[in-house]
Amino acid sequence: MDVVEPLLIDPGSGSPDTMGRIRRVFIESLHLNLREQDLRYEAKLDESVGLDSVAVLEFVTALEMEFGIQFEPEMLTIDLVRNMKELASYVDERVARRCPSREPA
Amino acid sequence: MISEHLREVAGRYPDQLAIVDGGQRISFDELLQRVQAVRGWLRGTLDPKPGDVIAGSLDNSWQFVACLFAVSELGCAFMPCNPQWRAAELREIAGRLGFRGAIVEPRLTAEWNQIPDVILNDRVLTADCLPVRHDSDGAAAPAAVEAVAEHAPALYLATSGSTGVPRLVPRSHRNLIANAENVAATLEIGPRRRFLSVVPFHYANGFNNSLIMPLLSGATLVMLRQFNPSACAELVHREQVDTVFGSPFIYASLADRDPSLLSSLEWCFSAGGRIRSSVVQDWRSRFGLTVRQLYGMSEAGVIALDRAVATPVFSIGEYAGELVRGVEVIVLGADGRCLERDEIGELAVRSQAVMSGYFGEPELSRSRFHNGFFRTGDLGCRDSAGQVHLIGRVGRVINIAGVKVDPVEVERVVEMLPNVASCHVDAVLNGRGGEVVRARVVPRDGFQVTRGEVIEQCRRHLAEYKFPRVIEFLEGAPITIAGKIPRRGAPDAAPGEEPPGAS
Amino acid sequence: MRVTNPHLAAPEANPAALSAAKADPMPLVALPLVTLNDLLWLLYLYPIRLLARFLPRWSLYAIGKLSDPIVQFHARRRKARAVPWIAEACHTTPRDAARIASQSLSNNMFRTLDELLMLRPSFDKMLCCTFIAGMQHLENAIAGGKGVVLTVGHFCATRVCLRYLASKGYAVLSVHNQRPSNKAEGRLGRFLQPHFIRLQKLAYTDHVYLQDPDCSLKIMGRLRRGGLVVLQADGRGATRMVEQVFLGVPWLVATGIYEIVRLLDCAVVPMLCLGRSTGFRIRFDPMLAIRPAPSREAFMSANLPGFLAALEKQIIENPEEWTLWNHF
Repeated sequence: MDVVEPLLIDPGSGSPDTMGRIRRVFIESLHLNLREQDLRYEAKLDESVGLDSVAVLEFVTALEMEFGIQFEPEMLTIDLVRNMKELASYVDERVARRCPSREPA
Repeated sequence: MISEHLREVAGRYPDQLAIVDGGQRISFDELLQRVQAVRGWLRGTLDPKPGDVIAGSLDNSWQFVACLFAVSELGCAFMPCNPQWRAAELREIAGRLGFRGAIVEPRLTAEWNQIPDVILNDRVLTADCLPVRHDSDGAAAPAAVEAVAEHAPALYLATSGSTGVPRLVPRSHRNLIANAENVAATLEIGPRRRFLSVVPFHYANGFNNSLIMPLLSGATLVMLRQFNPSACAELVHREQVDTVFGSPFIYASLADRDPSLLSSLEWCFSAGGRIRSSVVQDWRSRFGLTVRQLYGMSEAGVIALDRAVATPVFSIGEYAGELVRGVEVIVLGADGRCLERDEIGELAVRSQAVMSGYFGEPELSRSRFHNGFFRTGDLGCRDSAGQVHLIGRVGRVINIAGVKVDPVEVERVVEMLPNVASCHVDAVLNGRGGEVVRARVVPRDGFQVTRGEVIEQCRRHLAEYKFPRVIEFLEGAPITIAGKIPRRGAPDAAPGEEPPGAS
Repeated sequence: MRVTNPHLAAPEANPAALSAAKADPMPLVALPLVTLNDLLWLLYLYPIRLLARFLPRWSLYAIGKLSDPIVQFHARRRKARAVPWIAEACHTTPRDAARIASQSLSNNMFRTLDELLMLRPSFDKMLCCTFIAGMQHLENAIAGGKGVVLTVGHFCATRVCLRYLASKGYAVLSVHNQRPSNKAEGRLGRFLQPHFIRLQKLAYTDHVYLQDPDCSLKIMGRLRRGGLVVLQADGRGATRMVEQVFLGVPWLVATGIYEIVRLLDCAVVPMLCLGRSTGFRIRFDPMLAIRPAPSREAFMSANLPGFLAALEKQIIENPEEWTLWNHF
């Protein structure tokens, strides 16, 4: 499986908590030797950190485990995964849908 | 006992055609003679004792039927093996059950000869050696028929679980006869019916519905050893088959056949998965036939089938039909209480056709029964008319504040620890109106496991929300009369109730 | 007699060099203008493809049979390299191994003709299935609800069988390599490559390419819908590889498919497809028992040998139908 385009990380709207957790999962699930703060906008994850297709899958399944959600089949596209903003807001939406009320009774 | 029933049917309809297998047309009377011959042959070659298990790795054929009844007349149990099993799988099953001998298709001898450690090569007999007549020139009288208790296993079926490790389901004579009689009564099966026997006999669907039930009702079995769509359609036409118990793939494969070949068909049932509505539609428009759903399982026989005259029936899931005679079904909620009509929960079944428990797995078997009802693991409901609708599999999912946790996943992780013998995971009330994941750990004899080890193990492999918040340690797996595993030091729970959660 | 991997005997021998070659194909100026291989592909892509649109199948096969001597001649060196390997792997005589090598080559040619026929809209009606075994294994796996990965080897009838399954309502997503290795190509061959790929795209509608960045996500989506995906267990040409012994020789196994199985917990059903469109046989084997393991490495060592052993057995029992003997 060939190397994909490096991911672009893009700050913006979408819960900062979620984005932070996504970054952490990204680093941990792919066993990258990077610190979280090094994943910055305009820092294209370089050729040395290029991801292959299976690595993308590992990242996505790690996200599902971390947030306790499941991606809908039609949302499994590389474009969603590459766009941090959209990814974070999608994750937030799935989390909200999963738990209508987070407060204990 | 199953052979007693066969004899009774043969006594009533001796000349009725029992089996059509390739060029062979075998009446009930002829079948009995072959059974007697095979019985004598097996007695002479294997010298089995009552209670032994004899395996058969055979295609759908008269040999399969003759071996089944001959083995049963020797007081033994028959284990139909999938002809596609490799030596490794055969070794595993043979190791668990212990085979006195086996009768196999000639092409399979190479595979069976690779496991002399569990079955000696000279105890592996080939199907082409089956006699059709008892050798009356020899001095010996025909081997006697052994009496057998109705609860003794006549058969062992292997269910293919999702883990790929098969469970062994014993089917007693009582189970088989009850299932056969109930289904035959529900569908009014009698001697004039002609069944297509194409689903392999080593599968519950094939065995129950295309072998035992029709044969013990006096119907004819038209056999097809190797499935291919055109040969199948031609056979149906040539033998004027009127009843098929098939599977979604079979109906999909036959959907484009010439309608004139299938004009004799009247009753078509499908089991073993969801059949596509496009296939059902094709059958209706091209052949004018309704392919009906059948709901059953290896452990329980046929539970429900669709006999509706007016179809399609509206269903929120999949319409499985009305219950077969003699079968009771309740719907269980997550907490074990019985649900009302139209409420969705786990279907549990009770009937004479339900097994008593998996072979060699008493704890698992106990956990699958609730007040005498067998938990199917299927999610569904019963509507106001009592008809069954299937939604999906239960999968033992725990719901913690809206998050799904698969207890089997947690169990496997904990069981990876070297000192853990087994682990059972469920959900308990946390005393604050919510639920938490609980793990009950049984350490290996003589070994210790600490809370810290279990937590560390979970941390390494699981997301945080799956961690068990309550961890209990049990000694062995003591079972109370009620069949529940009690917590150490806690009063025994009443049957049907979860023990109160501890924090 | 120690048999080495015929592939390893070739110049671009070791794995490192292989990846390097893949990433960096030989520059155009270094290639010969035309090779015999290129001419055969040219014939295939143009006149034969045109003929395949309207000629009856038997006459297309007759053309194939007539060209068999040319194909055999063209592959003579590869066949010679394959014979000792086949003899050892299948425990047979060199003479029989030579027969197997030739037969495998012929069968492969009929496979390529069937692929041209697949472009016809009426191809589904031309399919003649003579035998299906083990449907229940497939149905049980589907009933598990997490999707099914069908593992196949490079057998001739695989595409035909997949087409047949699709026509029965069992659509299967297949994974292709966009750049099949083509060592003997000349400049003409390099030029023809995209045309060949376009032809593949027309013939196989339900597929993804290994080189697609979202290849795995598409596979995941299909499995999550409870659908079927087919993957070649003896595939190579990937970035993630593990060396194993396969058919008696060192083999770089592409582990991507096993990684997907590990991550998605789907069912795995081996499928064997034999014959050709005039008469083919399908066999589904029992679901493979997957041993869970805490890490990727542990998963591979626990499960990979079993997966490969199952496939080896299929190949040894049907060597004439496996197409990779003469591939090197």
